[in-house]
Amino acid sequence: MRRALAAAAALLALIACASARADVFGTITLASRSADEQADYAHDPAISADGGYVAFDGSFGGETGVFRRNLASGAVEAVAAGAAGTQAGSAELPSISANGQYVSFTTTAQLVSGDINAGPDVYVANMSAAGEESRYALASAVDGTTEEALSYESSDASSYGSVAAGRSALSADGTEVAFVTTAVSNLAGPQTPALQVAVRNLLTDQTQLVSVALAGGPVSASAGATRYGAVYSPSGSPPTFPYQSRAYAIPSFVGASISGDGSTVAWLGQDVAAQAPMLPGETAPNYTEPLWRRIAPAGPTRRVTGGSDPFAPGCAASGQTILPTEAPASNPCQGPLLTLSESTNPGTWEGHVGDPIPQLSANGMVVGFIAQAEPLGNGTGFSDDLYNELYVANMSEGLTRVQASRQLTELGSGDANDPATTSPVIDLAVSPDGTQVAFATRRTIFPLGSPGYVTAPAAVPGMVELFDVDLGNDTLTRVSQGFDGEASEHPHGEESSSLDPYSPTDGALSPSFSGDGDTLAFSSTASNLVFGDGNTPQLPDSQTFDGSDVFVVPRVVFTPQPTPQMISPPPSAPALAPVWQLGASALSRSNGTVLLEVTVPGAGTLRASARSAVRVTARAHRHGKRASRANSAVQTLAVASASRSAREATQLLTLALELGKRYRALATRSGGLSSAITLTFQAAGHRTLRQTLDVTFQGKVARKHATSKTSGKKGRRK
Amino acid sequence: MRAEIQSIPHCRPLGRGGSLLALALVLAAALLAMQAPRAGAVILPAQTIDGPSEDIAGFGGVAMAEDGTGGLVYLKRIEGVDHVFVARYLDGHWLAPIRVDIEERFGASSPRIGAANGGELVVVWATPFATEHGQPVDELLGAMLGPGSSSFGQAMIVDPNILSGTGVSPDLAVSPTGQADVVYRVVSENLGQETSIPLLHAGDVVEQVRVAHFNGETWSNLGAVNRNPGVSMRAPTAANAPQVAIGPTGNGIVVWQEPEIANSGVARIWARRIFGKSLDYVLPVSATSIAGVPVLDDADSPTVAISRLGQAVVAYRQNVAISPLPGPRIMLNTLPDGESASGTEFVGAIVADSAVSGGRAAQIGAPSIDVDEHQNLRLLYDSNGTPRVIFGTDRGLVGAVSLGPGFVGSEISSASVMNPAGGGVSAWPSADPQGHPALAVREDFPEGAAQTGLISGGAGGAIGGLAVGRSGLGDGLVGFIQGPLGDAAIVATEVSAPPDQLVLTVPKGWVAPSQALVEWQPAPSANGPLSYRVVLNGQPLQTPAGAFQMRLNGRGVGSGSKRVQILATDDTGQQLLSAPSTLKIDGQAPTVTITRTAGNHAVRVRISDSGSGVAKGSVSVSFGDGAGGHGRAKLAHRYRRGGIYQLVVRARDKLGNAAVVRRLVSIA
Repeated sequence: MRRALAAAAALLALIACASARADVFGTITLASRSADEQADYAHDPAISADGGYVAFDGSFGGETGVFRRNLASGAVEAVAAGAAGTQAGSAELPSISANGQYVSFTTTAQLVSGDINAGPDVYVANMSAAGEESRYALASAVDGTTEEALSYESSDASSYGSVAAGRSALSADGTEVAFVTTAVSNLAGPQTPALQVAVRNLLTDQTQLVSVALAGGPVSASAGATRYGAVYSPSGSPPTFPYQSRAYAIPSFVGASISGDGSTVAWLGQDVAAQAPMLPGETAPNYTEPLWRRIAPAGPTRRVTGGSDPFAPGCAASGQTILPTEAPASNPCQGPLLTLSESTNPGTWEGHVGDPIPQLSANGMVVGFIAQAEPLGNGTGFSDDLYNELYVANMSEGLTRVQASRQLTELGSGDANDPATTSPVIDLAVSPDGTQVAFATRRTIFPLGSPGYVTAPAAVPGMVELFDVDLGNDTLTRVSQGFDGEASEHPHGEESSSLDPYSPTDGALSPSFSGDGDTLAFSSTASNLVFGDGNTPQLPDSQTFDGSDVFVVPRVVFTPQPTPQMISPPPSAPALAPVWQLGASALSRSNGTVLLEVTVPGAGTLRASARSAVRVTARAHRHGKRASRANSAVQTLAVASASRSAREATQLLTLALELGKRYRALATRSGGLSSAITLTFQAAGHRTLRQTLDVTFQGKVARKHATSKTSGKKGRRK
Repeated sequence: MRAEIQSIPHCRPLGRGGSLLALALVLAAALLAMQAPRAGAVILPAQTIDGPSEDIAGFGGVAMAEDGTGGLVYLKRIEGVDHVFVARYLDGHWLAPIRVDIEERFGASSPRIGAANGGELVVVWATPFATEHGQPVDELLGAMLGPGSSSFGQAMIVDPNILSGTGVSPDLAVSPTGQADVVYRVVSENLGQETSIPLLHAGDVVEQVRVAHFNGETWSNLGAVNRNPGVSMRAPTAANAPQVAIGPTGNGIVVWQEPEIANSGVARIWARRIFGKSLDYVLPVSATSIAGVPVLDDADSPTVAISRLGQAVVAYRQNVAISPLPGPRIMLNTLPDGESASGTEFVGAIVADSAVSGGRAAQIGAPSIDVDEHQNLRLLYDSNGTPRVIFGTDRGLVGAVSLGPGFVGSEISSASVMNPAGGGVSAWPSADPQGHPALAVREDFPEGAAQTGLISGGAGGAIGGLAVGRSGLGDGLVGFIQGPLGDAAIVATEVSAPPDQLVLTVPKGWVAPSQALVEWQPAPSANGPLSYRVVLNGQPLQTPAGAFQMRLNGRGVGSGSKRVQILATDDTGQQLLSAPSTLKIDGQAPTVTITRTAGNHAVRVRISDSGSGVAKGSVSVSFGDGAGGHGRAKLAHRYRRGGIYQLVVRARDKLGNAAVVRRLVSIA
């Protein structure tokens, strides 16, 4: 359970390196050009981790070899070049250090005095060195010597020696170089079999055999033989060198990758059983699988993927010695790929077109590889020849190979004649941070939903295009495109339904990532990636030069620029301007009071005063006499008053007007007491409002006033 | 004074736990965004509908119906294939996007959307259905989401063959009742090919402008509308795409660019009315001469709007290379409604705005026009970087105003809708003071106020496409795509207009308080439901919810002429106050004035009523000495002897308000 959790966590860690980067690539620029001229052709680019330099092999003005371009200044320097067809012009397959200062390559030229063999050797050029003499360091050198080249036993001394992979043979600091011997040599002592993996440390002058057999020493199914060393060779025997006259194609060579930190080496192994644990019965020397080994600190050679997984839980207990034919996925020894019978199947790689060298992240923990074995769980009815799929594996401890592996491409059909769905993946690169995997194929249909293909597919398959898998956001994007957004093209003959105008390797190859994974270098024979590509061969397609160029394309990094939203206040609601006026009604109540209900237009004081004409009696005094006489008169007097304050506008105020004591009796008379009420409303800043109402005080005045509700029923509004 | 709204922070890379936390935060933020407060809002803050994501592949447009429902259409990649997605706008909220082309395998392009009342949506798009000589052949499809439905129905074929779909640029207009017209191009012979007809200009193509009509259930293809199939057309661009407008009755009008053989093949603007499934004859729209000087430059960027009554207005851009104009201009032409005698032809193109700065080097953006049933028009365009609005009435153009801030990213056209009550909504790509791209939105209100906003999706980025859907009532649904393709987001907001056209009825003449009944009609609004309050003398009264009439309570109302209004408040808090009506309430009895005259030997009685008036026949006066009078509002009486008398006056006004006044008078 803990292992499963760890596996899940590891896979999550692999996938959930969430990046804010989107997978859109910008304008493609031509890198294989100097200020004066465009390369006649250019292949095998390797971009420095800092993105400052691109090294490539090709031809400039009649000189062939390895060149380095400063991407900032545009200056092109020869790393190792000479006249075409000479040893001096045979340098190929560069790798470059992180800062671009060091460039490794393979050449038959003898660039140091200790290189006395006629075969290819691996060198590292220090591009900051002052003179030619001190520029080159021999990597394929005898352990412990400064520049004594390995010696080889070969029937063709000019072709066999040591070769280094392009793009992935040099550590980031430029001090360690991985290479493969292609002939019997003195690498690990006399008669060291061919096809061995070695790493040269340029600081310590140590040359270390990496492909160590389980039993110790170099790997060989047949001691001293040239076949079946530690490294797979496509032709079954070591490749010849140089390749400079080759047509544009996958380099037919062997090689090994070293991680940027120099800790790890990976290669496509053969005679795997001699190098890494397999099931006891799996011993066929032609069996191939990608292999992986830590060299600092040193560890055993491990299988990256496989048909079998002897370390999977339950496998050892099952007692199986070899995987049965068409083993079910539930078989405890079954690995990620169906390699059928180990004895009859050459493993994960059958020699189809493609670059089989596994690629490493900078720390060596992520391995990208192409496999031609059938994926576990694939449906039936597919041709065995179809599979050429891209995978990535996590080399963290504790994972079964099934848990560690992830398939990144899948066939779109079983129709071998449909290049849209079944074209092979033929080249790849892994970004140093392990989150990006670039690959090349002619396929246009990618049915896997994870990673999701987010680029509008081309209508029909054409040239090999470059794609990018972003493991962080689980997307698949097409990188290469014409300058008008169309698919890659170069001149070709008339199309017909049965004739494919492009060869299987026409188009984009050799991807190489900068350190942040945001810049890709690649080569392509397409003539429409940049405007004015000037080295495109004319039809018929049989020129000496293949029209290939090296290109650089940046990932478009979107920097979020949130814009604060600013919205002005909405207009105020419609103004409700109260009319400066009173609304009043009066209710004569049976208790002798009058109820006033007044709507006032604002805050202020409301006063009500009732005046009535009432009879008054005045006593008249005669002058000098004490006697007096009462006289009646009528006077208009205030008989009632009240006031109330309104604290806010729009308020209905009620006022109960009650007659003064001396007038209350008047309300009980027949007809009551007619009165004129004057309402006065005063508010600061406003004119005083006045209104007059005629009312009648009528009824018996109670000690306690009746409620307005009760009296209201008997009252009468005025 | 600006209100600043905090945008949602952009997602940053996080660890595993952080990813879960970020997911929760994003969900919470999305929920909050969906429930943004609307009270009092007019220009709502922008809301990210989808993205930013590399799956966002394009923006198709936005539409709004009179009832405030609508939707937004865009393209989104699913496993590398572009598909049509729609976000619906219902009850003032954006709903989660749904896929329209569910049964379609192949990539969609050129989606457009229209909206009808009740939440109905119509969408059209192009998609390949076959290949011919290795090239895809497209068809134009349509799908409808019916009122109350939550998913689109099966795709219907609008046009079974639009060839390669190059430059199809459909324009879709949907009436409130769900009828629709779509106009689109079918380029049959492309640039670089040998064509079957002579090309008037280098780079021309052979093309048809086709129209299809949707009656709410089925599509009918009306065929090509361009007048001369033997004339080559300009290569399709966004600027010369045909446009269509439809009125509430389902009748529409289509405008397009088409060269004429004469005059060196200058491209002009043409129009045809659409009556359901019938096409009217071709009408020339653009001017062939100005001030007697021939116009020999191409006209492009046509925009058309049609009023409820069928009046159509067309604006277009007139470039100047050899034109009599002093610089590029926006031109305007009007097709009167069919009821008028002159409704059979355009009245004549005029220069819409002569105040373009920059002379012949000025850059003029594509115009956006709208018209209402009052024959008022509103026209917005990019006037050399300055947003400019032209106003017009049935009597011609009446004014122009420049808006701010200026355009940023002039390749995106502005969009405008008008409010039939006055004002309207304008939107154009711009930038905030720090230079961050934003969409400038301005709403001009009927009473003259304005609100402005600079809105943006949470992740920011340049505005890549813009549309404003119109409700016809002044509201606009604003949609746009923001950020570069590969990291783009679909963003939208609503700009709401106040309720429209409040009609209030009060009784005529003087009424008793008990008869003071106020009635009103429901106000049209895209932001319902509305609440209403009766406003008396500027003071809102408690008004029953849902009522469209109210009898005033007599308490405190008093008598006299009262100013009555209705205050309508919509779902966003916007308010509309109706024009005042006068309500005459008479609840007060006649007033009795008694004065002594003739040296206090006589009295004069005067009965008056400032309201409905004294009913003279009701008047009776007892002077207290046995004498009396009646039937008159003014009476006088001379007493024979001095003393104190009680006068009793009885009177009523014409509404029956009765007065009984008893008054003592002292007679000398």
